[in-house]
Parts: sequence; structure tokens; C-alpha cells
Amino acid sequence: MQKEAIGTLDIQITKRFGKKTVLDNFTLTVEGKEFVTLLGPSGCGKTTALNCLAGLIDLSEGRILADGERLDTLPPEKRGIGMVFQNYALFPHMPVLKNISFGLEVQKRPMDEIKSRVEEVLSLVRLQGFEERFPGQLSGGQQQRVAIARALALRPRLLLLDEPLSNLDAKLRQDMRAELKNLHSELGLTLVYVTHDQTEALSLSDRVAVINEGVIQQIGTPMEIFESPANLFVADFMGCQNFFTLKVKEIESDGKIAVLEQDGLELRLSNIPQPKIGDDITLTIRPDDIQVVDAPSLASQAPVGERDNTTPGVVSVVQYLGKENDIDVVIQNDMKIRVRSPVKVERGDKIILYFDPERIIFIPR
Amino acid sequence: MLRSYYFRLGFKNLDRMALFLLLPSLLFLIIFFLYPFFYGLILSFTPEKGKPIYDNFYVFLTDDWQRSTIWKTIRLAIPITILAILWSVPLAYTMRRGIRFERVVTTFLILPVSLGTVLIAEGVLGFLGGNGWFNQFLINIGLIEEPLRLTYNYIGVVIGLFLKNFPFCFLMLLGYVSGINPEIENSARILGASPRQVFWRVMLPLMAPGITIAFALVFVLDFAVFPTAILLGQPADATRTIAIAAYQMAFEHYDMPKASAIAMIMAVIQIIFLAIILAFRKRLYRGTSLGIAKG
Repeated sequence: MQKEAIGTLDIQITKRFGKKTVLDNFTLTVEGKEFVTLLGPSGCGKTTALNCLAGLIDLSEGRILADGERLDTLPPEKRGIGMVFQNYALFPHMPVLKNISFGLEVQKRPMDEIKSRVEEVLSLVRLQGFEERFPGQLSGGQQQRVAIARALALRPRLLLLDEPLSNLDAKLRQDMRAELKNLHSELGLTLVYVTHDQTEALSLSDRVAVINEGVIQQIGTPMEIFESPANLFVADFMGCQNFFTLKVKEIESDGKIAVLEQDGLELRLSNIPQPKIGDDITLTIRPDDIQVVDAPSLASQAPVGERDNTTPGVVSVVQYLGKENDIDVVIQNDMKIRVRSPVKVERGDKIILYFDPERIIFIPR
Repeated sequence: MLRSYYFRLGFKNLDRMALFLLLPSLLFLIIFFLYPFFYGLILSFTPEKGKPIYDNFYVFLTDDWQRSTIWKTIRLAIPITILAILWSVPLAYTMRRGIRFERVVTTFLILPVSLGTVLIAEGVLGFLGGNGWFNQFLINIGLIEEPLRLTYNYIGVVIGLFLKNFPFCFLMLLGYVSGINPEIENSARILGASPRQVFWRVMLPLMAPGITIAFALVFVLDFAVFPTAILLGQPADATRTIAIAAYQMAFEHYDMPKASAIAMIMAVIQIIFLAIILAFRKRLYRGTSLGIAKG
């Protein structure tokens, strides 16, 4: 039943549960050896998409093609796909060894092949010596590695991972992330990974598909997704916490630099595509891209008040994070801005913020 | 108010509180179970004047007619229990993810439990009796000439008792199977196991502890068969179960010590069977305590 590694995987899925459309024309192409992440909040349909790929649920409409061949008409056991579940789903009544050899045994592979494969994947996930343990006698991280080994033992042409790290503690999660990335490049696996954690998505993937309410919002490399989100949802999900809608007030003679204004907040920006006077433009900036340029704790430097893209504000909340602070600042018209800065401030301080125009992200409508 | 009171009591006193709250049920247990049990135990070792202390047991076990009730009861209890398990396991398994009209189906299954033995016996008599619908139907279509003898014998008791105890067995197993994490089954499928292999290699072993417990409980219920054996069987002959023997000794011969001895023998046999089943369960499976639902 072993199949060739996948060249391209063409996915086009519509899935309805009753009247509710969970996936609406979900279209994605995965290239061989690619690490693709489906990223979205819980309930967005990402796990449904994965289950469709695995064959655990049927499509309402659409198709899944592996190198041009229909995959969606095959039962799960014939697809040659591996899957790692959020709760690992190990067989609690079998020791590690049997868990890993299960797939090879039901496919009636020769004994010596089973033996060598099991040894191979056990060393791959560094679990030699644990063969006789039962899943309940392992830690979360070890169970996770057994689940990965069990999937890899069959040399699947496509490996699906459903939030595999979400049950691990923060430190272990970081280690497993590195291990997963290493496995991916070492074995040349084709991977579809589901998560709601943007850090996982950015750090692991070749490409990320951001999903909301069953619709793909944006597909791109982690950098594209992070630096130029396609819409408000993606920007919000990727950690841009400050959103403004400003009106174009003036366009400078070169036609590139636009001056935008709303309620006393004025920004001069050069990255607005084809600005027109009177347009409403939605912008966003990440908390750590805003600088505190003047605060009582800073030695007073040259007056900065008249610099472009600055605004005064009053500190309302300070959260100490160690290296930095999360600072909530109220600017004109009671607008609240979240800033992340190492500058020491206190509640009630009058400060001046600088919005780096290079870091301001324009959100298309 | 109560909450703050608890807080002031602290944990140690909370235990004392729990013990206090347990008292009524403990009292109940002592009055209605332990007391009669020990009373019966002492009574059973109270022989007639001049006889050895074990005489009540000796009389029962050396009388062929009386002793045969043990075998007659086992002969009923074991096949019915096995039948109930064999029927329940596949049914519960197919219903593990829920089915259409599940509520209707479960209601129909619970009904026999709530109706009571007498109504079930009447139903069986009406349907399967000599002039019952079933026999009349078979005669009318010409399949048989004489009505089949399905009641007032061994078969009648098997049918009646099965109808009564099967739903209990089924519902218990259904609860057990639906509690198994569906991802375990899914992962077996993805690893290449056919539905048949999933059942035999993964799900059945995971169900095994539940099956053995269901077996033990249904066996105990079946072993104590009394009204069904009288209403649907031959209480004077083939289905004279041990409970009937005890009843007759107590309320026809008014010999309480001998009746107690029979009850004690009955209890010992049940305990022996339970011990065998539980020993088997222990050998069978090591995984339950290792977390069946969450991996």
C-alpha cells in the first residue's frame, strides 16, 4: 500500500453540517515536501479540513487530488496518510512498541521490515528503551513523540498534524517545535499542520493559510502573512492590536506621500496605494513598532513635539513583562493605543509616541 | 453562609462532615444488609437438635433433587448472560456514535426493565404460548402443524429472562463504548486498519473491561432468577432454580435454618463466579487505569 511521495495535493472542499457551512470552497494546493499550516481561531473549520483530508469525514462538495488522482473517494485506511492527533490517541492497551508497529502489522508487512522500521522511527524520536511502556506511563511529550513515530512508521506520503503541541507546556512546546521542523527537513515530509497559535505557524511553515469561518483569508509565506496581512481579520490574528481609520486630507505634490488625519491624529505616509482625498484608510501597527520618544523618565532631548507621525498621550495601564512593558496609552479623542516598549513609564505619565511610517501596515478593503 | 462555615471547618473537619453525612447510608447497610446476612449465617449453622453443626448444608448438598437446583440455575444463568453479551456488544458498538431515532430506540429498550417481570412474562405467554400469535402464525402459513412448545419450560425462562436483563446489559455497554475517545478509533483507521481490524484489535480490547463487568452483573441478576422461572418455566422440574428451593424451604416447609443454608450456598456460588470473572478481567487488560479517554 506504500505510495510514492506526493508531488502536488490539490484541495477543494465545501463542507456543510446540516445548514451550517463549515468550509466554503476551501481551495489550497500543497506542493511536495512543503510544510503548510492552517491557522485560525477555534471553530474556523481548520480541523474539519484536516479530517476531510484524512477521510474521517466526507466532503459535501469538491475534491481532493493527489498528483491528479482522486483521494477523497478512498476510505481513510487506503489513503497512505499519517495523522497526529491533539490528544495523541495512542492505543492505551498496547505498549509503545505495539502502538508503533500497529499500522505495519494490520498491513501484514513482513516481520523483519516491521522490526527495522520500528527501530528506525524509535531512534528518530529518541524513544529507544521505552518499547515496553504503556502510553499511560509516559509524559505528555513522550506520548507526543510516540504518536509521531507511529505515523512515521508507515512512511506516509502526507502527514497531518492536528494541534499537536497544544497540550504541552510552554518549554516543551518550544523543544518539540524545533524537533518537528528538523524532522520535516530531514525526512522531506509533506506536512499539513493545524494550529491556532501564530508563533507555531510562523516558525514552522513554508506557507500559512489563515482561515476564518470556513473561508481562507490569506495564503502566503509567514513573512507575507505577518508583514502584509490581506485584511482586518488576518492583521488582528497576527497580533496587530492597534487599528485606526483615517481620512486622506492632503496629497503632496509627488503624489506619493499622503497626509491622513482623524480626530487630531495626523500621519504622513508613503505606502498608501493610490490615495484620493477624502478616502477612509484603515491602518494598523503592532505594539512593538510604536516608540515612546518622550516620557518623564527619559532625559529630555531635543524637542520632538513637532516631528511627523507623533502624538501625545497619557499612560493608563502598565503591564510589566520583564524586558518590556505593555503600555496602554490614551491619545486624542479617548482612543486607546497599545504600546510595547522598554521605556519606564507610570500610570498618568504624559508621553509622546512615534509611529514608524515604515512599520505602519495598510489594510486593503 | 454554609460555604464560609465549611471554610472555617477546614479540611480535616470536612472529612468528619463527610463521615457524618455517610452515616444514614451506613446505618441502612447495617440494618438491611449486614444484620440479615449475619443473622442468616448464624441461622444456617443452627441445626436441629442432636445434628452436627453443618447439617443444614449437608442435607441440601446430599439430596440429589435439591442439589440439582444449582446446576439448573447455572444452566439458565450462563447461556442467558452470554446471549445478552453477544447481542449487546455489536449493537452497542454500532450505536456508539449515536444513530437516528436513538431516543426512541433506547426508550423501547428501557421499557422491559421498567415494566417488571410479571408483565414481561404475560407478554411472552401471549406471544409465544401454545395459542400465542407466533404459533398461530406459523400454523396458518403451514410451516408447522403442532404449536411449538416455547413456554412453561427451559426455553420460556431463557426468553423471558433475556428480555428482562438484556436492556440493562446493553445500556451499560453503550455507556462504556461511547466513552472511548473516538480519536483512538480514527487513528487506527488512518494507520490502515479496516473497520473489522479496528473492532477486533482496538475497540474490543478497550471494551473488554466493560464487557466483563456487564457479564458479572447480568450473571448475578440471572442467577437469582425467581418469578420468571415460576411464571414461564417448570418450577417443579426443569427450571426449579436455587431461589425456588430456598423459597420453598422457607415458606412451604417453614424451615428457616435450612432456607438460610440454601441462601448461603447461593451466595457462595455467585461469589465464586464473580471471583473467576474478575480474575479473568485482571489478566485480560492492563490499560484501563492508564486513561482510556484522554491519551
